[in-house]
Amino acid sequence: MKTRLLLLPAVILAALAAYFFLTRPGAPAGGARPGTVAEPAAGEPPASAASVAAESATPAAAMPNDRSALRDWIDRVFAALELGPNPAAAEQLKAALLAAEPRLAINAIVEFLGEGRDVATGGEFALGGGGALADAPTLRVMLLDVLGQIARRTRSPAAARVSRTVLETRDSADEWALALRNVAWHEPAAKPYLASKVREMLAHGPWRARPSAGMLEAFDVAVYTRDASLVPELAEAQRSGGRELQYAAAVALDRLAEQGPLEVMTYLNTHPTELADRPLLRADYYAKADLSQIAQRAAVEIYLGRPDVALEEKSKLLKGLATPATFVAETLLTEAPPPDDGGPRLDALARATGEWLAGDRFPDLRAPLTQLRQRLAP
Amino acid sequence: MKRLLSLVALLALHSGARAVEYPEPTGPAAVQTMPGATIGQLLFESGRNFYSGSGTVIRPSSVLTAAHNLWDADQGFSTDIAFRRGQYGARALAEHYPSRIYVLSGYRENARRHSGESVRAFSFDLGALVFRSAVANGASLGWWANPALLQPRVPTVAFGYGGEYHTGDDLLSVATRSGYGRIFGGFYESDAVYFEAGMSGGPVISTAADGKRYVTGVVVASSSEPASGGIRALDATAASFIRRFMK
Repeated sequence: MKTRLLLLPAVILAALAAYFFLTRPGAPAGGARPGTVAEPAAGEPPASAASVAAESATPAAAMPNDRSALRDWIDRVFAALELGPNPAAAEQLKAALLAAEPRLAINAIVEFLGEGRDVATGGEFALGGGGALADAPTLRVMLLDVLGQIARRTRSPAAARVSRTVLETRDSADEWALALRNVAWHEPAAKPYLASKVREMLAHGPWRARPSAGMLEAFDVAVYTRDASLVPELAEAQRSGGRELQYAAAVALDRLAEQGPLEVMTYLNTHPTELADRPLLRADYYAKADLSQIAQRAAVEIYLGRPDVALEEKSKLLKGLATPATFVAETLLTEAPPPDDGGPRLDALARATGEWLAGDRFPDLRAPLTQLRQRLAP
Repeated sequence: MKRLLSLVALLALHSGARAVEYPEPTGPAAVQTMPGATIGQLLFESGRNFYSGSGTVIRPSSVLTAAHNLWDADQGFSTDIAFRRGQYGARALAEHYPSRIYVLSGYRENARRHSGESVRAFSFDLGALVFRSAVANGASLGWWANPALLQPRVPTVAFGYGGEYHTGDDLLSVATRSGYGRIFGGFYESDAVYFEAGMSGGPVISTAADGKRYVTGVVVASSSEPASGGIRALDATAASFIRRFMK
């Protein structure tokens, strides 16, 4: 009797799971639906509660919390995807795993990933918020993402452990992107390891020739490390990579300079030929400096005093300091600095400019400094 | 503005069966009232050259424009940016210099999903200028991240300082009820309108069912063969960008 009662709920759960899996309509193609998000102010529509979230997850009551059931579900989705793209099935599985008992979900995912099987989902590599994926191109990529999210929430080392294994072989750049993220989430001190893997990624010919979406997003790992010694590799990708690689490298260099201005300026000052062929971009990286910080101001002054840097480049820097600029978007690991109107940095710039002019510190920059002072005048 | 020029491969215009609306001057009175009084000409330096584009005051101390007015892959960020609000002819209502630049862009500009030029780039192509004080005496143009307002039969008007067939110092407008179709991500296009170089960053304003007008997109691209106009629609991503970084 007792045995039959225990079996009955499991049977019901399995049946419900099968019902939702087999009968749920497919999700719309592409990314999130456009929402009707409005600006709440006079003359404008009120803020809408409309969401652009994806379809709702399967109700929690139907979630299997049995490891074999979860593993069976993964296998069924795998089998279904082998027959053709089915983003809805992948989404339902993802929701189920995220809602399941973490330890069981982790074990099921780790077991599947260890088998090395993979299949396309019909989706794309797309970032959502907080570094999580909104969509994934393969089942393994999706599961690596989910594993990382669960592990982060529960502080489990499982995702980092599996990810380090992924990073031992160059099978999939998309998987590498998630693996790098997962290691960073669990081991924030592993920046030297992550920097070495970024180098490895950038040096891999087949990936450079056809960079995947995941590989391009993984440029954010370089920014996360704040490792200015990555500047040469990023500069080289910006110079000689394909268009997509060039753009990713350009954005990464700029954001690296913003995340670690002193590190990047110090590196560029001690490696004077680096980026000399891109003077106006190099000036942008110095323009991230906060002149209220003594060390950063000193680095800028070294640069402004360098005889090998052309007047045009120095002038660009001075103008750039007056209008700090930032790339913003959803990224794998890093965040843009908090929004500001540039006020405090401009005040520091005004003070520095006044002092430079008063002391005639940079005679060849007298004209642009005078122009800058006029521009900054209240 | 530079990207618009780079897309204009041929200046020969079709006079075929498809009706295309071309920008025309609004007249000087338009910049004395809304929405013209919140639209302005952008002047900026990129590399060794000066360019012009357009922008809109959509929050009291911020101007929305196209990202490609603010950054270039070779020259970096633009400098000496001036926003001349209510510019018409030789005069402007006011001139302001931004204190902060934000460019909406991740690491993936160009995925070559389509045969066109950088549709993925245009699907981001939003930029913001922030100023230390109000730009239009506290006024701003209403906006609504609602791509449904870009569908056919909804009246839309695009504005900007076109310099291709006009001086570049006069506010131009071009209207359509044919709607804009989604091409990729936030990039929408219409084959019923043409945008002149210089209009980049200008607003696309839709009239909603309640009769009120809202900015629903930003001019970012154009093609002359065949004639078409491309915009970056305001969607949830754009709304998040505006809310977080513009004040």
